[in-house]
Amino acid sequence: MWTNTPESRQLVTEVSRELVAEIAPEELELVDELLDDYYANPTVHEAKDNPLGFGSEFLAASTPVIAMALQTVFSFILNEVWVSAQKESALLIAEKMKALFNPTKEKTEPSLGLTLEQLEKAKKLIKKEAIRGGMKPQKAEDLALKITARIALTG
Amino acid sequence: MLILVAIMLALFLGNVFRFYSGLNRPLDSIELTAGGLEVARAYFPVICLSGLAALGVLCLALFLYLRHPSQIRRRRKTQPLTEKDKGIQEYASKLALQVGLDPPTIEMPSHGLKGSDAQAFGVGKVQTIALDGGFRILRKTKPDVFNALLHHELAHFANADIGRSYFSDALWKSIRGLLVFPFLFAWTAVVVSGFFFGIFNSDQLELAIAAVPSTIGLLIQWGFVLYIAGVIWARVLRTREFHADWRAAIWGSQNGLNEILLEEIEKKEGPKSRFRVWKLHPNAKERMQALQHPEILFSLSPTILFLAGLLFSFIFVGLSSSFAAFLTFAGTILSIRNASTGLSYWVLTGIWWSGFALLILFVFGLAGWLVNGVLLPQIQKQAVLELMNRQSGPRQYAKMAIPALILVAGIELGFFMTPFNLFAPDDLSNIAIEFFIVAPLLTCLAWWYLIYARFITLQLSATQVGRKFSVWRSRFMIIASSVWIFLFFVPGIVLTRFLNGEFQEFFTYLSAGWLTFTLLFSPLVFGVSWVAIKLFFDPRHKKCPHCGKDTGYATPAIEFCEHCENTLGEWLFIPGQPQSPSLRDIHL
Repeated sequence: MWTNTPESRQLVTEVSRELVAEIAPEELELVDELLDDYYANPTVHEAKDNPLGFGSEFLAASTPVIAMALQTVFSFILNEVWVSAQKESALLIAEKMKALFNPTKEKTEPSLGLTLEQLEKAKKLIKKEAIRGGMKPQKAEDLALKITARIALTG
Repeated sequence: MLILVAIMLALFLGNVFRFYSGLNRPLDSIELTAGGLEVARAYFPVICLSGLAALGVLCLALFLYLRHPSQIRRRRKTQPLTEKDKGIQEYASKLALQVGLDPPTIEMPSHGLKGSDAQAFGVGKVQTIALDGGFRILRKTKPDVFNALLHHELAHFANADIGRSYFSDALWKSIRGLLVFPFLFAWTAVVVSGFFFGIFNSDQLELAIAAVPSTIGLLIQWGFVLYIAGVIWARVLRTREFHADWRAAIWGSQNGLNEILLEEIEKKEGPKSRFRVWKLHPNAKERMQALQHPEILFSLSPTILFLAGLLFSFIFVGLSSSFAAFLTFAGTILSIRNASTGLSYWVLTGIWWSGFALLILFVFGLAGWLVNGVLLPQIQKQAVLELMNRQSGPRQYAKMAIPALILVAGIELGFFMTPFNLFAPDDLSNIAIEFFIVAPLLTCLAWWYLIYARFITLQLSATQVGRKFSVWRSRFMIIASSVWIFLFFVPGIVLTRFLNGEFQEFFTYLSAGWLTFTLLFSPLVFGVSWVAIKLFFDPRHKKCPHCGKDTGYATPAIEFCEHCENTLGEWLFIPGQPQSPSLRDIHL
């Protein structure tokens, strides 16, 4: 799976850093540390039902949730949009994905963009994944909008 | 309270055994003579079983309580902090020292940056806080939230609720393990075996059918007591969170707590639980509401009053069982005594009467002390809240009639719901006497007790200045109100239980005598208490703890010093009192 390759991780780190700067700037200095921790244990932290604890489900850091959402959207694009690209090399996919997530970069293959329906589906997926990761709904919506806006701008 | 409920559930187990043994007479009908020895002997296994079950539950609870630190460490995978997390330990120690607490030991998982739950625990004076890995991040990114979570956990130590909470938790687990399943098993075995043997023997079948109402009644009563145990446990756990939040807010973590709770409210817009009394943890909305309106934490709680009433009746059933246990031995002592002469005769008579008197003193004293221990802090909080809100006068005392009514309702219901309702009226005329004479009388006496408790707590709180509430004032409040309840309330409940039956006349005279004693002496005790408070706790000149100058206020606890403008009663853990800059910021 391409999403588990070093190229994918590299791209997640790059895009996450940019999104963290907008959504959770206080975590900017800790992005690498947080992503290392995320890759070491990518499971979502489940708040245990502990009547003698504080009972907090406060999200300690947004970075892992952003990374999780990005990986989900990468999988969605690969599996449902670029089906034929799955057999291409990791490096090539990384380049295409990078182009898709970088609105400022000059478009090489405009046909790689997502349709409106696909964008809507991606937005829903991102939001769902972010909420599952512990992000509050409003912030998750914000994240989903930011990510899909990047894709839309390149389309 | 939970301990008593556990003992009550153990008695239910004994009662199932009693059914099984074919002993249909209740425990309180044992004669107080050597002639009753045979009956007492027959009941001995029942008493032993109840006693062993109660002891077993308490021992298992103690074992589970002592093991809770290791269990938490295993579940949360925490360990003492390593060198890389040293900063967190130092910071937590600094926070603890700032609020006047001993630094706790912080434990965390060795690695990981996820989770934001915290848990304070420890046995005795050992104070430990377990933190999730996410605290490594929160400390750097959200110091407000980090402080709020740590302050909240430190507040549990300041409120001294760690031992009580974990022991309650252990006791509840122990009840479930040792009493619930064995009871259900024994009850089912009794019912099934009764009908099974009834197939072969028609007499046996008639007996089994006749016992159906009693066995169903036993199951309902047992279910009720178990439900009460659950309610008490859940309440203990919920209340501690509200008070810890409030203390953390006073220590300056209001904003951090708001941030945490608001996020949770936003995340969980789910339906409210239908069974609020069973909820083990308050939800974010309830916690936020308690922070915004902390006066709800300082008002007399109807639930607590009701539970205290139930507690009273449970103690009395415990008393009857204790009597039965005593009589199993007393019968033997009396037999030996009657066969003795001279010094031995008098020694054994002394032992018999001493045991009898000690038992009554112990049970009555324990009843008074326990119920007073539950109610007094509530009454004090309510009294101080009213003082803060400048609500005074006879109307506040008159309003105590409603709590008195709730307390007595709890007592009456408790008598119906204890095993085989030994002390509940059993026919219509007795029910009428209970509800139209005894209950109103008990309500008046409970009201009188609440008025007295409110009076002394108010008098002693209003003049207390400084950072801490005086130990001697606390002791005076506890002793005076316990003595009052022991003399002027508990005997009323005991005596009114025997207004029907074999010794009706004797107990009616005794009740009248005690009521006369109460009417004559309670005003005297009231007066003596007032004089004692004025003499020992209310000096004419109160000094400001900050500038040392005399203050002329009659209720200095709620005032600012007229010389230095500092708060005089910093001990007040009460809403609306602008006692520190952090509290002023809360804008209640």
